[in-house]
Amino acid sequence: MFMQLREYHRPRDLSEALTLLARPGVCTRALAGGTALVGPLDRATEVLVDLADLGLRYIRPHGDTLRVGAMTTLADLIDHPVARKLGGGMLVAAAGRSGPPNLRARGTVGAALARPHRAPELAAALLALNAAPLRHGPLITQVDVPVEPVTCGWARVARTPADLPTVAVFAAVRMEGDICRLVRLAAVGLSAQPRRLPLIEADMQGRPLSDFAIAQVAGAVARAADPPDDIRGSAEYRRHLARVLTRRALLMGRDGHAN
Amino acid sequence: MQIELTINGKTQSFQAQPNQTLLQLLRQAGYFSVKHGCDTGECGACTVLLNGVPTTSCNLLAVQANGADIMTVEALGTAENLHPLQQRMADNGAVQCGYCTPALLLTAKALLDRNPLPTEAEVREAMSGVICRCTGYARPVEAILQKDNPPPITNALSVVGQPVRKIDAVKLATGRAAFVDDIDLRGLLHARLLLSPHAHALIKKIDASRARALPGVHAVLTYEDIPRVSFTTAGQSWPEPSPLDSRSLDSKVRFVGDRVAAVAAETPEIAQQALDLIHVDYELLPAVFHPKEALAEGAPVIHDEPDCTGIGGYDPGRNLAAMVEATIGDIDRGLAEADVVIDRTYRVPQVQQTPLETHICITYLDEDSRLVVRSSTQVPFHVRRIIAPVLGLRPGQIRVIKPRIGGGFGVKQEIIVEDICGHLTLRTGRPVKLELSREEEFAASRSRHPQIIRMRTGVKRDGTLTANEMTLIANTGAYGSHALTVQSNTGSKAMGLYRCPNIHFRADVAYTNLPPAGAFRGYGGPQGYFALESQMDEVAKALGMDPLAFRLKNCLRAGDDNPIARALGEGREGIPQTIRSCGLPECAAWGKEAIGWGVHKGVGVAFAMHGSAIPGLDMGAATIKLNDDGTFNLLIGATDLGTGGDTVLAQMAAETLGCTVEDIIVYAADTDLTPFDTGAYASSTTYISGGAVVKAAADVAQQIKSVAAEMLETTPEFLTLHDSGVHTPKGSSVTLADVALRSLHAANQRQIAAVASHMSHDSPPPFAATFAAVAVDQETGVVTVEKLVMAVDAGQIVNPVTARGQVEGGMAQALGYALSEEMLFDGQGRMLNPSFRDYRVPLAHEMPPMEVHLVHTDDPFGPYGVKALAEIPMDGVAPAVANAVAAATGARVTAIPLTPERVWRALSHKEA
Repeated sequence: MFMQLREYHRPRDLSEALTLLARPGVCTRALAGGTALVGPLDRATEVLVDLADLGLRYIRPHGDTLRVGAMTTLADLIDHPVARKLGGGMLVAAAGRSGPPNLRARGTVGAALARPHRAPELAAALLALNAAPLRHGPLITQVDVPVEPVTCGWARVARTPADLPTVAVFAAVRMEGDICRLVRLAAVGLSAQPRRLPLIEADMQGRPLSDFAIAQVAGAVARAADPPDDIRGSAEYRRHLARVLTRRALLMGRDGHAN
Repeated sequence: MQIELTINGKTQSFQAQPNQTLLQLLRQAGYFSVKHGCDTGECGACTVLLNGVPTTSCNLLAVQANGADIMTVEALGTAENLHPLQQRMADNGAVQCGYCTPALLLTAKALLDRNPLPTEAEVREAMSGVICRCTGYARPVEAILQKDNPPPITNALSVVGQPVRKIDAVKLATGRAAFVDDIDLRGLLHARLLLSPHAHALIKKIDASRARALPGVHAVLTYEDIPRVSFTTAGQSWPEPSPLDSRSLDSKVRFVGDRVAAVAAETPEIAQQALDLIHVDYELLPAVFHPKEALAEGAPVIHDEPDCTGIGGYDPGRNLAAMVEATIGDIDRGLAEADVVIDRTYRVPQVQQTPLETHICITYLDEDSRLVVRSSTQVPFHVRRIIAPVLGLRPGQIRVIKPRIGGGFGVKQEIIVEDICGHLTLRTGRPVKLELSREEEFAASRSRHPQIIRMRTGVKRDGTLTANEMTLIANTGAYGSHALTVQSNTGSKAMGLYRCPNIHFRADVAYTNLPPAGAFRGYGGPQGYFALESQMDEVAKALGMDPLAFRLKNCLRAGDDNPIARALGEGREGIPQTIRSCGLPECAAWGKEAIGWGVHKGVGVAFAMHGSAIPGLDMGAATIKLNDDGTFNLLIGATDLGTGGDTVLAQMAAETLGCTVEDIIVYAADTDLTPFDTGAYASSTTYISGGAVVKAAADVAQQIKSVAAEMLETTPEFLTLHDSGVHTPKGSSVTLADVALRSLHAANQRQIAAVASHMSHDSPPPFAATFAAVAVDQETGVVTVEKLVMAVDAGQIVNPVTARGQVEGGMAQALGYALSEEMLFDGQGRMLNPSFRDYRVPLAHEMPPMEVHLVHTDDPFGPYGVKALAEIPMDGVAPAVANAVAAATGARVTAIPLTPERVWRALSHKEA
């Protein structure tokens, strides 16, 4: 319930949207689907700028990237044939964990990235796939997802299958023989927000990825984690899961099939 | 803003406020099939098809939908011309309370339009955006997949035992205006409550002057504005066994979410603004949340007011809301005689009922200035009697009407909206609506009592029980609603299941500064059975016995007494109970096959026994009258919660009167027009209200026969009623319509009608055996329930479709209790997870395959041999799953829910 809302705008071009969002002294918020914004008691918002008509709902293959417009719904993404193959299905698996289908029908990729706690697995999967958000001022307008020769692995634990994860780990790996040429790791539940683990990644580059090495990496992730303590699990349990799920994600990534 | 929407094929213009949701707009425009359930889109009850796609409408602004094509269930089909999906949902028992039915129908339609032959997994995935708390999703999934109905019960009866379509199924499947909020009232005001942000505080000063001055505000009430009358919200028979410790508004708050003030205003937004303008000075008091700390010396006293009273060891000065104790034999001697003594402590959580329709009521003054309360309640007659003194009225000045309600599960036995809504109507003279938000429903309504349960069990080497003791500490939160009776029931249900010469039960129920507990389907049973049935596995394990064989050796059988039930009345003296029928061996035999007992690892079992109404207390009445055309009005005080009570009562009337269910016009739960009934709780409707219906019907049948005897020139004894007529042995007959016309218009004129009441001193227990098969990820603790099987002996089943649906729905709720549901609080007593996002109830694609078997027994007490069915499905699932986890891993988890972390801790021997 918006207590102060007095204006609703649906601009047709980006510059108009940015102008509206930049007005000083007015509490203005961008509306990108609205599944999280509309409903709860809101005493502050005075103006909403709906991004629905900016032409940002698209998924376009472009060279070796997939360009995903910020207003693309999570359902669009899950149904898209190219997106379905990204990361061996990792991207859409993560998108499928971002709320029930009736919400995914309107929830957008841009909103999920702007508020990663709402769809943390999608945010983390995009990090592992090295996706880059394109920004215009305060707005994310597009996400470029590289289509590259990596194999992916992911693992999660949640209180129920449809719950947000206690911990989830996403890995993208490129192997040359036994040697790891590239690895990206992203995790949910090991820090306040989903994030990459660059130090750990750097350690693995150019080294063999044996089961033993993976176990060691998993241990390092657990040691480096500074996990929260909340309704979905204690810090102690999350540290344990960091080890188990990193190992599972890396094994799957190492042994998986290239996309 | 001017917007244009095409709703159900018709393009219309609307003047929408920027902050108006599509849900609000649609309901204001009369599309009542679209329901409010949670405000965040997570329950899915407000789902519409937006350009053909199922989408929630509570978190979508109407202006966002400008130009869209919207479909609601109103356009799917009509009662005369049902859409095939509506037909199947209605026929297949997929419609229980009906609150989520429109959303399920639209979701299914969109799926089938896209994919005409979906797999079960695809159906469940599509449905996972709509929470159903009644059905456990089994009937809806089968309806969508076009599976066959369960078969009728084979018996000598013609209507009882038949899978008759629920009499309200069509109106619910077509989205007809049937619920509390589905009416338009001129001048309706919107109420909102100011709730306490503190767990324990005195209101030193409260200034509502700015709120009162706000344009559009019609009333602001604080404790200073209404008389102080102590009552209990528990909604029980007079005199109430729960302490009288609540007031509509008080100068002290006792939990985060306790009422501080109430506002009635022109719009919900103005009401909210008014709440923001109320200034309250609190004097914070030390708060206590753990029941053991609350009962300790020197703890803050939560009810230090002089005007609270109670029974059952009530000692508010020690925060003791109730104490119950009963002993059979000598527990110390029994423990001394044992070869093995098992001593374990179990913990069960506080959980919420989460009906999809939150608490809602609308109050108004009728043309005679009587207060009409249109409420989503399980207990209309208790509401009338209990709120009358609170409002300064006599019960006769109040009329309570219960329309269709969107689930109850016990939480709507609680009177937590009617009193304050009534105050606001009396103050303003206007109709007032009060509807709790989902967050308020979670954190400020009622819940299941959490308990810490210690069990000591003594057993001989041969498996004979010598001693069984349960001592528990329960947490009733800030108010003692059902404190005595829920905990009594823990003992009288669980501790009676196994034959044992020496039994001891004791429950201490503590007040704390957490949200109050209260009635929740199962009513103490699920708590007790988790402890008892976990314990029985531990005992069997210690003896090296098969847990199923151990149970069958010790469980009650027909002919046994249940002495603990006599020792523990529900706040009154108990009544001797002898078991006349017990289908446990058959339940066990069927379940053993269905689950693969002894074949698979990771399989667990739990037995359960419940009751059929509160003996010597619950009472129902029914009136039946014959109409000109041979139809009957059946007027009952019984309160159908959506599970099919009205339907099974109509079936029992039709059976007795020799007509069809279509000839029975049911009108129920209106304190002006229907006779008294204690209400829908304690598994009483079929057994008690059914008894009244059968008596009234038998009386009417006699009257019909005497008129027919005049017409057929014979004597009544020779006549039988069937096929809507009265028949002689020789084959001549008259129709019921002939009888009605004669008696109303022609000869010896009178209204053929009867009213009858029923109560019972016997509460014949239904029995059940629940089996679970699980897989456990031993590294992470994740438990996957792979199959759930329940065999129930509920005597004669009146309607196999509604019965099955009720069992499946209970199993799903019980699975939530087993695996994921738990109210969590921070150190200040604030609930951390008051949303469906954070409080996880099972969704369609999270449910395991379920099998249900109804074991037939003949019980001499109930009408047509019925026993109760409503609550027993809640009892066995959690212990069966915990026992399966123990069988799979060797680790005993002594607390639920069995979250991955809790199981991991048990597996790695860490502190919980």
